[in-house]
Amino acid sequence: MSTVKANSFANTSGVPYYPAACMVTLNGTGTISITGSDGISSITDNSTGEYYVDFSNAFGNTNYHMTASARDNASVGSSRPKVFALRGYTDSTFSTTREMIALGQSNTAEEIDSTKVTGVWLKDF
Amino acid sequence: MEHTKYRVIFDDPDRLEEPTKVLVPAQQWLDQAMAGELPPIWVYWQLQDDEQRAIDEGRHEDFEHDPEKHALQWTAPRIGPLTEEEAMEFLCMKDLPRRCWAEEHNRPMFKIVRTEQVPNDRQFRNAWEMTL
Repeated sequence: MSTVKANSFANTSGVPYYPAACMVTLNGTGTISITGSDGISSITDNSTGEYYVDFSNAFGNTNYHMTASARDNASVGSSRPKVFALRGYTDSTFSTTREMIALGQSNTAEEIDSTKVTGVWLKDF
Repeated sequence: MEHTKYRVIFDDPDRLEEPTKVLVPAQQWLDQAMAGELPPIWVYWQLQDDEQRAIDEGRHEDFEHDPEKHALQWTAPRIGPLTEEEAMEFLCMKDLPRRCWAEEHNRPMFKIVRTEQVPNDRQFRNAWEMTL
């Protein structure tokens, strides 16, 4: 087993290169809490089923890769939460600094919370 | 599970009809702040301002941060270790809508509270309005 250690990265032309990856798993029920995270500075409980994630460092542009998923919420009958939106702070634009995860019921789209919501953002290399 | 000591409750001055919001700091970020690994706050504001300007001018679709300004997040001189309370104040200036704290309002727009002071019941919390 060996360990790779580096203080900085650069491409073959010597241009500095800053890897960026952010991930969070949160519990959106009760008092919202973070289960685990990397590369984020905070989350915000905006309202039922709406969570903002602020990145520790801004991405260079909005061409990053992202995905999110949510666990079934057994307290909401047969309905299953579905991630129906990932977006920036304003309705129409993504942002290099923060992202919103919105959950809705799969049958009605009414917003609901989930005990386990995970989001991952990766820089576009 | 991350067990951070503080939360920030706040109202967005641009969206006062929405419920009071709760911000939760990330443990890793707090650790970095307390270890003195953060750049000055203006590094973040500069990036936020550049992006907002691009949005306002309708050129956000292909927006790219200036590489030098973007790199300052890693290369600017570090501000040194913060206490947990100072780190929470820094976080407010970084992640809250700027109008929350940069402008005067006729009532408080945000408050840093202990985690156990935040009600567990969302319906109760949604009925809140921040007061003096």
